[in-house]
Amino acid sequence: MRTYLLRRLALFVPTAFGVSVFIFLMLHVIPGDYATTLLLGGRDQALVATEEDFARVRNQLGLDRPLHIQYATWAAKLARGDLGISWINRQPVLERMLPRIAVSAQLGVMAVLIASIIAIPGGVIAAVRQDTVIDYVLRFVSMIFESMPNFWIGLLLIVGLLTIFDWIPPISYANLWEDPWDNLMILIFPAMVVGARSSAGMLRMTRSSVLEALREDYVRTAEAKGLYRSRILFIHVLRNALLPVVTLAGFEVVFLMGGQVVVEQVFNIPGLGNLFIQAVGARDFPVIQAIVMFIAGVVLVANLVVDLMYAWLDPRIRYT
Amino acid sequence: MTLPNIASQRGESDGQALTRRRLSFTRLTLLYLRSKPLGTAGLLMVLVVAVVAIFAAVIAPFDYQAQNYEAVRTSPNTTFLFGTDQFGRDVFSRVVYGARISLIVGLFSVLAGTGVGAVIGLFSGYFMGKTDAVIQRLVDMWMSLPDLILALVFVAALGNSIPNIILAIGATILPRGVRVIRSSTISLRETDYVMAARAIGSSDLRIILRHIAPNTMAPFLIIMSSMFGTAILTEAGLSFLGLGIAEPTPSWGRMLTGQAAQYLSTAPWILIFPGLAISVTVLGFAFAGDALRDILDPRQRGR
Repeated sequence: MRTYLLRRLALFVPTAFGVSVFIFLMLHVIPGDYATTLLLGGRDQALVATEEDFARVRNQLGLDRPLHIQYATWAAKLARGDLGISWINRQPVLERMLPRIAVSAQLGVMAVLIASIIAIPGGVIAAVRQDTVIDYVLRFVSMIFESMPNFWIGLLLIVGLLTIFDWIPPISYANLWEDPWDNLMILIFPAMVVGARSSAGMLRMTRSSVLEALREDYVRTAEAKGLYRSRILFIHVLRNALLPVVTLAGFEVVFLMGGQVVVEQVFNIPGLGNLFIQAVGARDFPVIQAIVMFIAGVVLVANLVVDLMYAWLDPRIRYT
Repeated sequence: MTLPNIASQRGESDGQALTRRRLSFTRLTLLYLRSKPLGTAGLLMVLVVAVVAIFAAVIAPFDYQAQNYEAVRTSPNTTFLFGTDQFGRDVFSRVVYGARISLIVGLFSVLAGTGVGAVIGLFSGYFMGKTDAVIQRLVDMWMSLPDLILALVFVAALGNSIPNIILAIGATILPRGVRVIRSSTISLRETDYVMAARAIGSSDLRIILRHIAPNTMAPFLIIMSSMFGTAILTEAGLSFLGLGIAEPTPSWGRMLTGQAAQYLSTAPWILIFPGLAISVTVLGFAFAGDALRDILDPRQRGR
């Protein structure tokens, strides 16, 4: 166990390093650097900006230095937790990110709660009633949820809310701690949209996990003892089958960081995805780099923790 | 872990399950059509979309760019089957042409992603060792970025022309292709016939191309069909964010973005039909892909 743990930890560092090199190269090797965007703003103003202007901007941003020096400077700062300064409004990137991380995390938690409420009972029912109409209907509905683009579900939900309740997505955002009720009312609908989609995968996972547990020997033993079906289901099957499902549901919050980008956009939620889209639109490279590193970092940590937990929970798993 | 014989539970004879690997294409197609009604329905949905895409010029009653200010935001009627949008463009014609973009982007990104992924997976799985370890770390790294984020980084860096979008979406599919083909290569390289080929002195390249690659066809087709819908959704997401296919090319995702959202209460058809088109296409691929997986890989059945 200890060697496995050490090996996994040792692998984590080069992987994170790889992500940082990748994202850096992606954004810096391409033709047409940021100075052009900044000075010309996408318009043809070549007459206004002189060669000296370009040189000055590149010098200020450090873009005239060799690539490996630029990378080393950025990576060294990153390792110390300094994410740099946004090119657009000169704010520290970290300062812009922190409140948005909180918003996205809250949305993720709410979405996963909603998804679990739908998926776990649904998956259990589908497994217990395997190959019956209800099983097919549940799986069919989950496939439909997965096939609809979530921004479209979001838009339809807004139409529905507008016509039925005369509700429109608020223009401003309410902070959870200052105005909890308004905050929940703003986030509940986007959370439903994100949750609907994650419920699909979760339902299938619950179903197959329960089906597997139902075929275990201890279930047959319990049946042979003459226990009630409900007791077998709740005490013997669900306890074992739902552990991995609930664990993974917890980590879904992390994996949703990227998955809710579009929904944040539809409902005008000032989350991390929303900032990312702004940064991509404005080619604000420090912000893009920082967000990608953050997301990759949390996903890698979550993967690591999941793997270690599985190895710890199930001694049969011994990766070499 | 031994798996129960699911084939017999599904009311198929064991013989069918045993000879499955040696089925010819025709017999496979017949088996698919006969035993997979939902898969057949999915295949039909995909075929309809493909036909619409190919014959868009014939099917669409109007030019997708033609603006008709006499008929702005008209509700669906016999002339404008799906109504018109805020510029008086025929939504039906735009949805019809949109099928082209979705399928072209979907097809090429899946081919590029799974194709390149498969080649890397074959070599990585066959040679194992250090190269494999390095490639697997790269795959881990690649997969730590959510699809849309990765695609957006590509678009931010390269710009949003159609080939770049294909590249961006292909990049999100690539690591999955590597994983799947690598794992089946690893099990195939231990088979007797590969040992035999090695014993008679076949070169590594010959073993990979003649003996291993053809046998990874089933997982290759499975991953391709299951990634197709994801690719279409990613394209729709990118276009919706205004960072995908640019106007005036009609893309389903693009049709749902920006100003269109303002009209969602007064002219909902502008939003409903493109979204429906995406959903039906993706659902078609999901049904067809699931059925294909059941037929080609009986172990995965019912999962």
